[in-house]
Amino acid sequence: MAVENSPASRPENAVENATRRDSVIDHSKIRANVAQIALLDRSSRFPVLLGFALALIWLLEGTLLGDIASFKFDFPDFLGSQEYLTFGRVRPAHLNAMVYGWASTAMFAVSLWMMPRLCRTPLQWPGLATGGIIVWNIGVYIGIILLMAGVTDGLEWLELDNVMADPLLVIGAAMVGASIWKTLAARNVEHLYVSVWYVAASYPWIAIIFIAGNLPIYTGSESAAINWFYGHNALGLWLTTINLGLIYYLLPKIVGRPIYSYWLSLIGFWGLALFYSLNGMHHLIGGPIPSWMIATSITASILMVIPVVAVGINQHMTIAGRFGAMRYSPALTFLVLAAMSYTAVSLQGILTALVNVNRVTHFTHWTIAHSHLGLYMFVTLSLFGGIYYILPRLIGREWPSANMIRAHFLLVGLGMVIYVVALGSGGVMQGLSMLDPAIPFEASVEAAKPWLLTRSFAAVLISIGHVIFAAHALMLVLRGRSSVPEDPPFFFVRPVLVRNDKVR
Amino acid sequence: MFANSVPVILLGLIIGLPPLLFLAWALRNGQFEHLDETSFEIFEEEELRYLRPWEKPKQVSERMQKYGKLLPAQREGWKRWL
Amino acid sequence: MTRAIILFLGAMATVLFALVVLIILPNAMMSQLEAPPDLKPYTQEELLGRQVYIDNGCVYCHSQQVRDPSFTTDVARGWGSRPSVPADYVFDKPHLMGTMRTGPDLINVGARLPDAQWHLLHLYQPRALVPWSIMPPYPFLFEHKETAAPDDTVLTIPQSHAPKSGVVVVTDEARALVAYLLALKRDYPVNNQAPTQAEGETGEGEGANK
Repeated sequence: MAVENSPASRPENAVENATRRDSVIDHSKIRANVAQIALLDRSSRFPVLLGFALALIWLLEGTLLGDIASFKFDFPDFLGSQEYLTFGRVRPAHLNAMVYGWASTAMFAVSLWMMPRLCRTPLQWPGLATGGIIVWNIGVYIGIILLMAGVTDGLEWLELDNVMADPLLVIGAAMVGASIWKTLAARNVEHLYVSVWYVAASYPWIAIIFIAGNLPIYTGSESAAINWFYGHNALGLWLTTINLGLIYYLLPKIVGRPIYSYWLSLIGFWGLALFYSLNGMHHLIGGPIPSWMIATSITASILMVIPVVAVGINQHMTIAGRFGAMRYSPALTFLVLAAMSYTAVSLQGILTALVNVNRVTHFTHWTIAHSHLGLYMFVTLSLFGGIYYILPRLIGREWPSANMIRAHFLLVGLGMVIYVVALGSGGVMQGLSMLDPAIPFEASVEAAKPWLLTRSFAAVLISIGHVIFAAHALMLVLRGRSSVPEDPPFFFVRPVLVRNDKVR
Repeated sequence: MFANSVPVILLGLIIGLPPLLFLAWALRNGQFEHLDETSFEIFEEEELRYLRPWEKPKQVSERMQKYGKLLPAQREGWKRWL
Repeated sequence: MTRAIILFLGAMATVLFALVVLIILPNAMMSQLEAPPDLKPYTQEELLGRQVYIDNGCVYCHSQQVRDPSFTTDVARGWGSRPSVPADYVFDKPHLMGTMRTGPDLINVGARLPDAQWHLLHLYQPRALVPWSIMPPYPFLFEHKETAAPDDTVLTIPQSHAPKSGVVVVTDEARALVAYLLALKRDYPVNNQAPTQAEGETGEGEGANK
């Protein structure tokens, strides 16, 4: 196959250079060059690095909290006299640390990294973005410390204190969101890539539902309705959307092919934007149901299949025949697994809503297995992929140790598969037991015990994986640009591959 | 009554109606035209022309056909981590 | 092709939202939930106890809703005489319906286990009464003292779970929590008693949302 090696004299280059000079042309037709991209990365470098650093600390803290919670199932008197560590406080502390600490902070970082690149303009108001990340994190810390001291709003996913913590979260997210939207307003592209839609829309969405969910004005069944409206939409309009945006950007980029069906990805986004929140309504129906209400909810649910299928088809067809690429790129491996998990957890969710399945699984550990399939295998693995791709580009050198990456991947991959399968099985056993009124409640507790123990074992594997990952990230940052990488495990520092005449 | 919860319905509207407006804007603004070009936005100048070690000969020649002569890795290049 | 589908989606959304605005919303605004005559508001002590329940995260293992017999076996299991209705929760702010049954449903625990002493000991150390239980102990809701003061209530604890020395005294917090638990009784009859499919979906909805 013919290969070229004389860059500057290539005919296409001359044309491109000429066209760039007389620039009355649509910039989106002209690809950005590596130097430009490096500059854009530099504009968001500080808030992104800060976000990742804080997120990784949360990852470790949240993992510890999760481990404690898990061990308490197996040894109920473990740390039993410690008021701050009682299960009913440690468990929500784990959830909040992971959702608002780890995931949300990392999501701020990937948003701030993607927007300048996709809008071809430096990050606007970077100081505001940095400030927002800090304010958000202070809010989460205050909220979790209060939570462990017994101060909680009492609603799942909305525990953080209304007065001392939530306002800081809202302000912090608004600051980051303002930077994102200002960058969008300053864009140098005509057509918005689908990831821009996903990322930009997520900010007003999370702000609206978080504020609405936290208003202390609801009672009884309305309180429950709002609670789960929030929970369902926090998943679909914040946690899912930012990560879909990330996957839509990085997956095709690493593989080196445009997304298989770009129009399908747009339809996926718009389907989600228009119908996802209404989807929540079909869970909230109580009392006599007029037929038009059933039609509304069924329509909304069916239309929701579109984004799930769109993502599934797109990601699969883009990588199909090129799964070998995963062996060269850890980022890609994590992102592909995340994309597959998104499809899996969405289908599992639909399954779980069927009456015959729900009778068994509702109120059981199955729910936890399901939520970890989504929150870990999709959200967290996607963010790991993002960090593996982004961090070397911001630090200026490659990840030092292929072994540590392998260890991380195998430990968390294996750990989470064990987790989901074991706990899912435990939940089913528990649920089947509870269904038969002749069987005493004790049986459902006993049935779950071996599975809960297995989950704790999986939790240990995952924890070790996290420590290795965090340590590796620290190694990467500390070594920085000062040392010359000898025989790097894989070349990532420049987007894909760089030519030696391009200056950093 | 869940379904009679006014706040829930209002929230559904507040979240769902603005996207309708943005959709109208997007249609008028031409966001749904030139879709093929838009999907290429994420790549840098020469990114698609580089040789990728995992691609089979058929995929390589496809790449060459689409994007022109292929470029080799300049440094050590891609290495396997798994 | 994209434009056509997008226009279709937009049209569907417009119809859906119009439906909500013109029909569902006005309907919702007109209906109101009233407290059943047999349901009394929580007393001061019970509210305090409810706050202790919330602050210690009891909701993460215990649900508070009885689902429809046509859907599942909650009633047959003895967790309630009838399925829960929205009116049962009018005084619950915030709701505590829960999504997990690591432990039993509690909406009628006051009817099922009306003994305050049982609850106090069970909270102190669940395994003193229920050996297979995995519920955490709540010794910090009690005071461990050398000797009881004159107006202290001492908790009677079986030898195997009692502290080596001293006595365990019931605090106001523990008392309040038990008062709340005993107030959890929703066994009064309600109008339109006929359990509908929707009631079942209410319960189902909680889980499907998670």
